[in-house]
Amino acid sequence: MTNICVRCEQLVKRYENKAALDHLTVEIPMHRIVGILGPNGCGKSTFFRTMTGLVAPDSGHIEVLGRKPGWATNRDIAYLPDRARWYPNHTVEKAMKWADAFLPGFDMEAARRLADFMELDMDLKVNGMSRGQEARLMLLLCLSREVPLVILDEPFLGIDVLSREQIIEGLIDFLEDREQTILISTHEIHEVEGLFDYAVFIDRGRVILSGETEALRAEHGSLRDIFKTFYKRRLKR
Amino acid sequence: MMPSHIFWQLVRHEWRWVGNRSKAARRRIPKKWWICYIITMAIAAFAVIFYASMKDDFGLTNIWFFSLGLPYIIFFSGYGHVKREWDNNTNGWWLTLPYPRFQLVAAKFLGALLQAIAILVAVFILALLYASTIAVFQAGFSARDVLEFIKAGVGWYELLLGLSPFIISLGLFTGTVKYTMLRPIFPILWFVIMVLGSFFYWGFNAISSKKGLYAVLSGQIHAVWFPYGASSIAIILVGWLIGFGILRYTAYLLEKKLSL
Repeated sequence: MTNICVRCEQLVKRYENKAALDHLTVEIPMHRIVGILGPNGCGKSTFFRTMTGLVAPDSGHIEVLGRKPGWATNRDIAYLPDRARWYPNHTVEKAMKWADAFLPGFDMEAARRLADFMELDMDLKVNGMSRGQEARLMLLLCLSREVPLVILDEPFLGIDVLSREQIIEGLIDFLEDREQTILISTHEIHEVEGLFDYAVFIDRGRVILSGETEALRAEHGSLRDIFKTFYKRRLKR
Repeated sequence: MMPSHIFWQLVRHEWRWVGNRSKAARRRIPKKWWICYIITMAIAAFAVIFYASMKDDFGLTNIWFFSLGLPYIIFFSGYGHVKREWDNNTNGWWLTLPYPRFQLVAAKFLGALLQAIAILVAVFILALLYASTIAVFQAGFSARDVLEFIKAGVGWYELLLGLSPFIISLGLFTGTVKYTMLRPIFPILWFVIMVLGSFFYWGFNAISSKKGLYAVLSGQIHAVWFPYGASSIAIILVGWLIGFGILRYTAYLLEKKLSL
């Protein structure tokens, strides 16, 4: 088994005249918590959608877990889509049953533990939830799957600052012993910085920097500093 | 492939009314008021029919004219099944389920078909209750008229049920096109569907000129349990085949031509 989880070579995806992915080339190692970072519209979500077979690239090559992405590879991927919501008529319990029925590797016991940790009542209906509660529900549905790859596209969106800090602290404990590759895109770099052990910076559909966070920090300072430096430079251009 | 028990669980998920977040946000009138309006309209409709039934030329079979909008309801059952995924922002969950797209579409098709059948059954029961009430309380109607009413309804429903697979697959396809690279043809597709709808209403009388449905529903000729000939059955069977092709193509669009 290769130690590369995601391999992309010269990946291109265009929407009319705009290139969402512009010859993106990257290799993401296995069993790391990876930050996929970049400003809005830089191609992070398109990158994730390509990994899950939601959109087909126009050209280039992509391998996820050693295979071409598609519905079959999604057995091994837990994916929290960008701007996703949950079925409004479901309760937390029903959402878990849905996940248990349709998502391979779903661990009901882990889901119950996470629901307890995230303070989600099993009878709470999605229709009556705050955006933060709904975001927590979707996050727990992904994290309760025993699959090799977890992709979380802006998972903390809508969760208030206090809950976010609490959830991230819990996540660090929860993810510590797991043999999974976890890709997280987020704008809240300063809060989740401690979570990542690998980072990929994307700008205008291209990877501008990637590597182990320890090495990146040693060379450039914190991830937040890198973010500021690189994207400020771009704005000046 | 998806194990059959998972497929049927998915059909069950699709069959249930999950609500539409987008529509609910637009709807400013509370739900209970909508229920009040629907009940008021039902009572008003009942009163109108009751009043019309006092006229000499009224036949119980005329009541079925109220159900002529059912083909559109069947179409929107298919259309809404795809649209609600985007309206609810659940499309990402749906389309990354680890099962072939054709099976995801097929589950929606069966869910929509079951919903359409549930609506048809409910409308039939309601219409039968109306007709029976009128027959009981108005002079001049007999059990034979109620039987004639049932026969006319059964004939109409046979056509509706026979064409439902085609209509639903067309609805699913139309709902999907909007979110794929075929989006530019979406307005043209609507125009074609409206023309097809008109053709349906014109054509379903022509399907059997001797026992045309308009003639049956207006009481000009007697209703029979099965008013269709071989050509009508052939049209329905061809409709099923085309419907299957449309579902295949819809799955292809969702797999290869999605535009997110």
